[in-house]
Amino acid sequence: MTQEPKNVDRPIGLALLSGMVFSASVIIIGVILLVLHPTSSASHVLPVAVALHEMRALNPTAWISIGIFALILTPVFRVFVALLSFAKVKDWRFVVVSAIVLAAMIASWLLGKA
Amino acid sequence: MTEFSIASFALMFFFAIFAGVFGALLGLGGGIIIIPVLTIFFRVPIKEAIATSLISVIATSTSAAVVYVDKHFSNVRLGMMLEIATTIGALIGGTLVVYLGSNILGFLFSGILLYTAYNMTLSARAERSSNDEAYIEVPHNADDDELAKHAENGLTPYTIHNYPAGMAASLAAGALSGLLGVGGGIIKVPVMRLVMRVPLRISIATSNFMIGVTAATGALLYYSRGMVNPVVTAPTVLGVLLGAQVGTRLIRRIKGAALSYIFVVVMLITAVQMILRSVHGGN
Repeated sequence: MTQEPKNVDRPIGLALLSGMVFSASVIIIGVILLVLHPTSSASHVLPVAVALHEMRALNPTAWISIGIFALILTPVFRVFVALLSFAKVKDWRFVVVSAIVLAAMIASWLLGKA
Repeated sequence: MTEFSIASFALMFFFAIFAGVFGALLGLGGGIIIIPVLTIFFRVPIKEAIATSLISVIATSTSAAVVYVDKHFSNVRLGMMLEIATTIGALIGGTLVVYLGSNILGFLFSGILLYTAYNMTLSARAERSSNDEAYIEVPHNADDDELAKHAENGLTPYTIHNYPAGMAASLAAGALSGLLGVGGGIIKVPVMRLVMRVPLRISIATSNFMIGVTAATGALLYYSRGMVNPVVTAPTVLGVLLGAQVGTRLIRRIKGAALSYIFVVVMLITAVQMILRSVHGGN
């Protein structure tokens, strides 16, 4: 069994780690901004485009929104990285598996939106 | 509960650490802790609590899987194979929810949970009492030389059984969770443990790896509808991320049998919750 070359744990783990560190950092910055300006809290997240724009103005809700959004996208990103990693080790069966999972995620997103 | 205060922020953060530990330890999202605590103690509206819970599932999954994948506890291929079944199942369940009454399904689901809890109790006695550090998946036809080599390296070999039955059970589990809005871990762990005969810790770690995918689409929908409250979600997510890190370190200190019994208790609580919900006829 040549297990090692087929091992995709490392890139997948790194995808998860980067998603976690990025979203946690952005949320923490948002929380620090919120502590500095407690009156500026909002009860709803901002739409992504608005939040990205508002981040420059150091709007706490904008930072927290983007951090939460990045966390939500992390599993999608992880499946995408898995697809690429399986392709790299030429495990085509699991490239197809990853593609189906990704397609099912997109389908339920579209179905839910409708 | 939309105003920001450092006191409530700190309280939410601390209870979320607990939920994160619990989720990582059992392969669950922690919704059965987060939703009641947020609605009862913090008076968060139920829809907002569900949104926060879904995002916390992603936080638990991501934080725990960072450790479990690195230690090869999560079986990535097994997880992704079953994700096909659970995501398609959830898609079917989400579509059928309009046509089916959730009361009867709630009872049915509780029945399945109770039956599974009984089987988990039986299997708990056979659970290895040693706290194995590492496992490795081997094919059915692995020869003695290969097994001996793994033993030398301190790895416990295991084989995955009944792939078709595991896929079918995961499809049904995905459909039920789509229909009833319950987390997947409570079903995924027993399916892997009992149907596919995967070691308990591998089942838990693989479930942790999978649940983020199941929660992501739902969370995205709540986000796009603006139903996520940042003042509630920020402390909860940060606490859960931290707690899940603690949980992944704790899992090797708890014996397999004890872990099984804790899981059974959580199944029983979930079954009772579902029965109560069905009796009250509410969603």
